[in-house]
Amino acid sequence: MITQPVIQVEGLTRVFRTYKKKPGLLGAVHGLFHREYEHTTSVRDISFSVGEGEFVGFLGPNGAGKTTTLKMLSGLLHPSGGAASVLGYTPWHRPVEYRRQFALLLGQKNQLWWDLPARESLELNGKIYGIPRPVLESRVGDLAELLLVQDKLNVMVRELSLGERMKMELIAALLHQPKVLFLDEPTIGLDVVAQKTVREFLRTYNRTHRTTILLTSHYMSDIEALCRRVIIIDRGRIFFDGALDEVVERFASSKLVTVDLDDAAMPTADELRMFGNVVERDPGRIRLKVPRDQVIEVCKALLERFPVADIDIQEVSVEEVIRDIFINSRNPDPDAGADSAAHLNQAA
Amino acid sequence: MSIYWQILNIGIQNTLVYRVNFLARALFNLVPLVAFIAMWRAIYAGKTGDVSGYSLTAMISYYLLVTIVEAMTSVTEDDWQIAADIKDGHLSQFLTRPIDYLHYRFCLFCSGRSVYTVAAAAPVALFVFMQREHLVAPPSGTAFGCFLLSLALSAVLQFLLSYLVAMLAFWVLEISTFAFILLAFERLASGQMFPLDILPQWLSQAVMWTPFPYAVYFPVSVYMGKTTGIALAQGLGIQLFWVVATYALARLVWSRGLKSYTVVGG
Repeated sequence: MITQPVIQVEGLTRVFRTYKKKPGLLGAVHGLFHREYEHTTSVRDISFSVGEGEFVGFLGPNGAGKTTTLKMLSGLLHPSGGAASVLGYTPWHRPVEYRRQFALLLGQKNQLWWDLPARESLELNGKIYGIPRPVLESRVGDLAELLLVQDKLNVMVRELSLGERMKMELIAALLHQPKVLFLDEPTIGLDVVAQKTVREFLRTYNRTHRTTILLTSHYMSDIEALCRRVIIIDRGRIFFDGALDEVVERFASSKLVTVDLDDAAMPTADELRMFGNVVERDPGRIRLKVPRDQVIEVCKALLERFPVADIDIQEVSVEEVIRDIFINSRNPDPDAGADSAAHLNQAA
Repeated sequence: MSIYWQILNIGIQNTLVYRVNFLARALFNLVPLVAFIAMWRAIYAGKTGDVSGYSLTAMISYYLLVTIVEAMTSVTEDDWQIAADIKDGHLSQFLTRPIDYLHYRFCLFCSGRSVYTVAAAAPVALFVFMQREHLVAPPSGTAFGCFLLSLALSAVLQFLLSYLVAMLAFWVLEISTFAFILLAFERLASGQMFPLDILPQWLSQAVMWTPFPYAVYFPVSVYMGKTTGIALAQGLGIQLFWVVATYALARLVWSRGLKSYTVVGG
């Protein structure tokens, strides 16, 4: 089904040079004559490829290199090394033909004219991309309908809510029907309802237009709802690249065991500690996090020791798994280090 | 072409949001004008005859024309906006879309000028009407035609100079110092404060090689019939040269700046 990859990234690396100021007034004076620079590698030798119509989630803590990667693929940043091709173009050469075929939406930046109704900015974009008027009208109409903002097109942008504004930004980014779409935190700061609308819209749009989309988001629910494939980056490196389902299988070190039992027979917290991490202990219900390889033994022991009414074993949530991955990578104790190195090998 | 109309259109709409500011600015721009006229009246009162070839009427006429030329051609907020686009990373949205930023900014400059000209028209016209016995007509249709041409070139030149200064935002955090330096030179050497031909001849001739007189003094002197014949042709030539030179430099600085923007981090 997938023929030629739309996005092809080979060993992409990006080093930033930052001026390191020594503390205090003396440091400032010293900086006038002699500057020390610090080199930080934001993206380190990453490679991946994305096929047409794929919806890929980019995951990683702040500063992991997600936005830097998107900026390089949009031609806003020159890489320090490596190669990339999007739709057959080298992004940082910024050829006009490439610019006609992709869009970048930065959730924290605003491209609409603040003091004018969104419609004006959309019409300007229509002209920039050379979209004939009737086509533009119908596209704006369709997109606004899907995003539930038909009645907001003539309202000053500064009077729109954050959610409405983001929806307008999306419309502006999609008017020319880009083949590739880079979304950096498109749902940041939105309320739950708006988040859901945007999410559903993106899913439909990706399916109907076969647009290749790369999405970064802090909201795991966005990624879970939209992306079958995720690329997890941490400190500039690709940590995992594969199906979202696999993340839990591969990285979840424990499972959730929920036990329902008689109020009267509630075990004490001390009694429970030997079985696993107590997540919840309410009258009649206990929830434990148990290492995967001990689940069966623990269940057996629980059944023997207590009058269990019901027992249920679940995977922990993706969000939790990913949070654990990042926490482990931030506290590089020797064990966790060895652990993540092993994962890295597996991923590669 | 229709893209430029659209930018002009959206720029005018956006500027109209601030029409009150524009009207206020046009009004208060008349304050220094009143002061200049009062000063020259005082100077002429103690003298008989002309000052450096200017009668009192011609002198007042000069300042009235400076006001009109400035309203139509000078840059107001464009340089700050361009610098802000660069600093805040707003430039990114232009780099990812098929649009030329210089053309885009020039269209916005034109829309700002047209709104300002209209806003300033009423107060300036009223003022000029009050001083009407001092406003001389251009000596010929040719002089007026050349005046219009140099007026247009002056607008382009002033835009490009400001654009160049704004580009410094690629490298420095704060462009205001540089903008003020440019402004200081422009004040003195453009003829805003006084007609340049009252300076000693060697000085005024030297100044005529810089781009500044072509912002204000040159179009005004063409209108007044003070610059004619070969001097007029030479002046238009130098003006055109500066337009082309600043344009080429703007393109060069832009590509350099973009390099640092994409290398240092957008």
